[in-house]
Amino acid sequence: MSGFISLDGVSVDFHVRRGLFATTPVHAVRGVSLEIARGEHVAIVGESGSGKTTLGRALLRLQAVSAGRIVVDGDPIADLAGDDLMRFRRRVGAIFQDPYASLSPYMRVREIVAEGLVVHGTVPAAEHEARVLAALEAVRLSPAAEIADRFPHTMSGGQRQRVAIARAMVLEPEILVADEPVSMVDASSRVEILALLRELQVSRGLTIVSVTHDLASARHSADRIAVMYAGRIVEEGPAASLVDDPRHPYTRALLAAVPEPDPANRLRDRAVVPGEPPSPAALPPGCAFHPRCPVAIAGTCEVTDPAATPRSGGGQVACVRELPGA
Amino acid sequence: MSPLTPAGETPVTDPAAPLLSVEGLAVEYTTARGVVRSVDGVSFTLKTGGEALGLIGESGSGKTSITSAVTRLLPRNGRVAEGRIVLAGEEVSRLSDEEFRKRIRWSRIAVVVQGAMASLNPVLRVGDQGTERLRADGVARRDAEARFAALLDRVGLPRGTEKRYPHELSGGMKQRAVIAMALTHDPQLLVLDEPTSALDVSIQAQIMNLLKELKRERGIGMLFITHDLGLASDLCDRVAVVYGGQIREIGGTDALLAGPRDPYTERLLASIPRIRSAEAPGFLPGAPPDLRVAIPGCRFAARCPLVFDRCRTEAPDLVTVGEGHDARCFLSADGPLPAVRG
Repeated sequence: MSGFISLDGVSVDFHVRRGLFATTPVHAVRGVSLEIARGEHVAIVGESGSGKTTLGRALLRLQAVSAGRIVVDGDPIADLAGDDLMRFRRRVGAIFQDPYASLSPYMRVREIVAEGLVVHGTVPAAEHEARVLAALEAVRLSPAAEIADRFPHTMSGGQRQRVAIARAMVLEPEILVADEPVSMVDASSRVEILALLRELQVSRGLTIVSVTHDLASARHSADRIAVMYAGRIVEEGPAASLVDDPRHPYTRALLAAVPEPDPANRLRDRAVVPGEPPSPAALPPGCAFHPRCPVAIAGTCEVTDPAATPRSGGGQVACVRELPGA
Repeated sequence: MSPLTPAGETPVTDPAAPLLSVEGLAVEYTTARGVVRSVDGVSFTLKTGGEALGLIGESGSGKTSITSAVTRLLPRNGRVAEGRIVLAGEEVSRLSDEEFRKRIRWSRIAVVVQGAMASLNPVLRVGDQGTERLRADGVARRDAEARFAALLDRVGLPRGTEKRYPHELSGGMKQRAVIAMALTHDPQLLVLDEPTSALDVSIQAQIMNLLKELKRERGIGMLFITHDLGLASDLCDRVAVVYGGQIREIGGTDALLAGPRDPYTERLLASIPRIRSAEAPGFLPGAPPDLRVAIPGCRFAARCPLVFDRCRTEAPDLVTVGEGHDARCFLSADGPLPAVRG
């Protein structure tokens, strides 16, 4: 099987200085394989230290991989150079978590959105204004001509994130990598931003890879969800199936931790897993989740790091309890 | 653990009075563009015996200004322009800053702010920070250390945490340490400003469980500030929805979740993505009002799906719609709100 985007055994290691000469390897992403179809939205869900952001950066080729490869539309992206790399950068847009930090306070919205056009020089300068206004219209910032004259500080978090999306869309990318696109946006504006991403996905056939800690938002915005823990994808499948029928104990723990507005919550304690995610510099042996796992099998889970196996309902799951015959 | 009375003071406590009563509070900020009234006519009470009230709002709604007025932690350009704040029968808003700091803050009202990482001193061991105020109040070192060690244990931190520096702790552990510090003087009221927003979801759930336990076993009153109505419903007996510096709706959590009577509450609830539902969340378009500009009518009118002419010219008052349940909409008194699409 070969998707539009294909991740094959992708690992990313960092080397952290310890003392004068020693370095400690940090295994941020460990052997991730994932196929993403054209026009699909896949959400990578995990907590801090899970490797989700590093994986997103690897896909943007902002981070070199240590092992494995990432293939986009037939091209291994590690091999791209020169004009091919520039073409790749036009094809893959990015939006980041913090719309307060990602937009220059000294530039007007017009200049922010036009920057990619200026850098790449593939669109005649005479057409820049029209392209900028069209991008602003596409993210529902109107009247576009008036918004284009504004500075980011005069806008709300939701409006700024729209500007960031317009900036990414102005080069008409085929792929959008979105790192926590709504986590710093007010709750009331999140739905709109996610609906906007869905609209761009459907109307332009855009492929979206989003990175988030918010399983509930992923459930309603993505087609598929991949849950990461300690650098691995522990479970991946169609969004509704993964949430309604979680197979991995970590996915279940994440689901139990989601605060839903339900009067009954107050009367009971939340079912939570103990402890905290491990440091990628000191991973437990075997399955990295076993020290926190409520259903770990003594003698097995601390030695076996389970491989991904096909999951009923679609996708894959990496848990010994899901292995055939287990 | 016996309650500790700091510096030999006897708390002025009226057993019949509510733990906290905020009456007609207005907070104003002086800015380069003039005076902004960011809290306007806010009143609520908190019962004794461990009631938790959630203050829910978007950024800029005024929720943090309300609690900063209660804790006297308003920034320099902010001031309480109107209203009274009464703690267990004593009008604490009349105290001097000096007296408030000595007698009220930390000993009777403790604060846990957003981002525990930032509120710890990086060059002091956890134990030294935790016992600092006790020592300043004249508690012997050994007693202060024993007391704080017991609290660290209570919030679920391992033995020896007091000897560690903040950078040696994870985010969740730091937040637990900050909660332990807030408890050193057995406060009657705990003000929690987004105490879990910087934490991962699984750690957030652990901290929420801890807060629930503390509420049950110690009967501490809690003011819980959050933008997340789901999170508030996990802890709070009552919630107040704040918008444009005013309370839009206040009531028991159950009643408010089951039948919101203000359109803003209704939209806020509809916009929460439900993990176990296939139904897409609803929209709440637009942005909160700019309070530098006078709004003649209802402050939510510009975003309200149920708006009609009267809303644009006349400001609605809070009306009682049920027992302990008030809402601020011309339609609130008529029963359940008409359905909104989307």
